[in-house]
Amino acid sequence: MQCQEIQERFVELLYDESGTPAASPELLAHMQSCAACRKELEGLKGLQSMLKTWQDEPPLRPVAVPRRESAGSLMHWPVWRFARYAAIAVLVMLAVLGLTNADIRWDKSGFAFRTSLLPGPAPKLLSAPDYYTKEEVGEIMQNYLNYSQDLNYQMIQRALKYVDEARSTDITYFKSKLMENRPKH
Amino acid sequence: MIRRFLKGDEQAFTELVRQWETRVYNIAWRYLGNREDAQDVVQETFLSVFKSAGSLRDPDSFPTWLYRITLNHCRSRWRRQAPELSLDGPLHAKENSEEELTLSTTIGATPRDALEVRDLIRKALTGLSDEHRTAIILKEYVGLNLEEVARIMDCPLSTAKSRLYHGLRGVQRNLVRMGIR
Repeated sequence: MQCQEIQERFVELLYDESGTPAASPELLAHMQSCAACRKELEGLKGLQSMLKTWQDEPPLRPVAVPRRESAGSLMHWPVWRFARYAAIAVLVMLAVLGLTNADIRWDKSGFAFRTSLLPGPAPKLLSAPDYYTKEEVGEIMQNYLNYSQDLNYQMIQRALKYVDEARSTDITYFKSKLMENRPKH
Repeated sequence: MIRRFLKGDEQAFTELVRQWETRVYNIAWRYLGNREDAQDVVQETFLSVFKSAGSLRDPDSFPTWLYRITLNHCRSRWRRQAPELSLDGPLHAKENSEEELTLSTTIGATPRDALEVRDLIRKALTGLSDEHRTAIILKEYVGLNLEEVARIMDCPLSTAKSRLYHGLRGVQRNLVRMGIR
């Protein structure tokens, strides 16, 4: 057997363990005849003794033992976990809106949203009619009154004209009847 | 105690931690060569144990399972840190400077006390590959038999023996390079 081949089997000689194959007769015979391998083996045994001088020591600190959350804990429920994240999201959103001077309005006239991040005029309210000023309303009412008066006047004029025409017709009729019934001399 | 822990008994877990923390700490310390890192690995290991207790089917295999978790955390930390492997001085500045001794590179220098020997071994071990270092720690320091070492390293028995032998030779070589005969 070659020395290199033998040396890889030194472990069988270093550790005499029950249950593992015992050193073969060939190995033992080579060890008896080869001084170099014997010296090598002695060196490894010396190394083993040296390794054993490194004694165990206790940890620097006791281990922090983790604790399991109790199954009945409310905060363990998925719903509460979602609620926690939702609350955080709402707080973040409110903080952002506050920082951007957001202006939010929602009334009968509609919904409006504006922030200082977006320069320009305020956006038009959604689905809200145009507003009139007081002067415009007054003008509109005056116009309507004038229109009503005109309308009334025209109606009256037409009525008078009708009456006049009717009277003329009657007069003409009466005249004609009078002429018919006038005695002949 | 392990069975009680697997059933959810938190007091049993606390006792389990107290029973195994020293062993886990010393594995991590020997693997990483640094006490603070080893302490972190211990905390991470038991947190992993706590979280993944449900994955352990056989209570009798708890030690194997625990050692595997410990070594996985050691490897992760080792990869993250990429420690200096210089054998000419202290490996980690965080170690107690009073205990750190600058090694003499004079050939034939012999160690004077246990602290110096420990420092030499620590440096020699951290200079090995993961496989060789793991094999030596599990066999020489944890005291497992060769079959258990093979099981934890998830390799055949012959491979575990080979890794152990080459690990020992590696430590020997590193010590010689540090001037120790």
